[in-house]
Amino acid sequence: MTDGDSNSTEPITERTMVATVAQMATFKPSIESREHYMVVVEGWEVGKRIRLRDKPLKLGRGASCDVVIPDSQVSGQHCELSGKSSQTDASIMDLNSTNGSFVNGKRIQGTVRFRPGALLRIGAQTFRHEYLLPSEVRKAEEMGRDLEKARHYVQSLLPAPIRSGPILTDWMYLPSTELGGDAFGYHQLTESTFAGYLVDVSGHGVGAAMHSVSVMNVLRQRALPNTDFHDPSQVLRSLNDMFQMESHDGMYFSAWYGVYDIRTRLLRYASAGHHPAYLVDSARESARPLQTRNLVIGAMPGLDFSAASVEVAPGSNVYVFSDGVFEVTTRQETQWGLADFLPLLTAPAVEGSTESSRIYSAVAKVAQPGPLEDDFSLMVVTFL
Amino acid sequence: MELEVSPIDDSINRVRLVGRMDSPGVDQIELRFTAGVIANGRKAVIDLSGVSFLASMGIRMFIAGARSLQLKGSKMALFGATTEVQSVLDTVALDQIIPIAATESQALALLKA
Repeated sequence: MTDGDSNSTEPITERTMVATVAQMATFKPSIESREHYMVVVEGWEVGKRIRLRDKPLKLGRGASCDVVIPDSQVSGQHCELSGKSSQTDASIMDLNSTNGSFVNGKRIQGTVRFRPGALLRIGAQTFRHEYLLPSEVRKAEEMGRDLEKARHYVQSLLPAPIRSGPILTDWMYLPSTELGGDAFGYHQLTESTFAGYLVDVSGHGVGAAMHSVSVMNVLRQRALPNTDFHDPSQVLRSLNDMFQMESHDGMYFSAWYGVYDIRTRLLRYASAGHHPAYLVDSARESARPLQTRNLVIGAMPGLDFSAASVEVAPGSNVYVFSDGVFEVTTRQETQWGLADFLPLLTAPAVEGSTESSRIYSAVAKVAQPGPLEDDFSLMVVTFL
Repeated sequence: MELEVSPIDDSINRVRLVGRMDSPGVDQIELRFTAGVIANGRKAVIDLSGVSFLASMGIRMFIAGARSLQLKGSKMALFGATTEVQSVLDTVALDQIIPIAATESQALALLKA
């Protein structure tokens, strides 16, 4: 029986009374109070959590600052932050910095409120304000460590870029802070055939990442029963049979899978619930969508998946990517979509930059400061 | 994210969804959607005209709901999607398991078909 449990039918005995009194004697009310923190979400030490107090904390590049930030765009003494645990908002004051302090994308003047969840950008550094109980901080740090491990594991499974031969590859994989369920890869099937794929599991977090790793391992090891890996339809059908959502915690995924034959220059491909990949010619005059209309993987058992093929001219690129590449909230707080993103594919190459870096830089310029909302996964395959 | 359920007749509910159907948005309504729309096994037409963004967690909610209704011998239809949301529905080919219409009357006709 517990305090306030007046409806309990358990009889009160001498023993339970002793236990209750003993519990009351050791009971201490919670004295936790919320504290202000800022967390580095982009910059020199991602994940670092800095506590704010009544006394202002000075941020800058100079050695005399409380938090020294190694960033050439940050002034010697850039800004000051403080926060009282009894108040929800912290405050921030710009110290006449050269390049400015920006809260949620707006340059501030003097002292302003710094609300929980708000983003502060100075130079190339972005911080998020958190107002948490110490127990919440411990939990967040534990979760952050788990996510970091999962992030490293997914990255370790990605193939190395191919820099020579008839097929070249480069890619960019930037998991979001929550870690999404993207995975991709490629490999030679035979001397003359090459397969590439990308999957995007619904949801975020370690669960989605684990699921994407399971799918990726099946594809890497070619471990689908009775499946010809040269046939995209068969591969998607077998994945659908193996990964039904009711057997995998309600998770489904979208997928794109393609097989290129070096002798015939034919690319056979199929997609399931995934936006198109795009084939861009060497002159960058057009971006041809490569998509077949099929339901996502895991939604319904026993489905067939249609495939298609296209001839690939020398010097063409194929861009395969997840929706996190284009579903971004812009600095003007509008929603970007695939149609907004597509012109980037035919934009001129940038000397000294890989295609995936060029496109990431362009997206990052459009998106709100800080990490992207979803995983950024982009694979570029060049067919010489 | 908001969810409103109102009966159209004895066997069909109208469900109006408003807001962004991303992870945080779906977290706010999924339990009520399952309890108030799926559990009773009534047919449902889902009004998407107030949905400004549809992400994978929203699609997942619809697929899981449609499959549960199918097991109960019932079904649901979607209608009123904005151009952006319709584009997502097209990409995932959701119409292969859930009827999708432009208007409520068309959605009702699909349920009765």
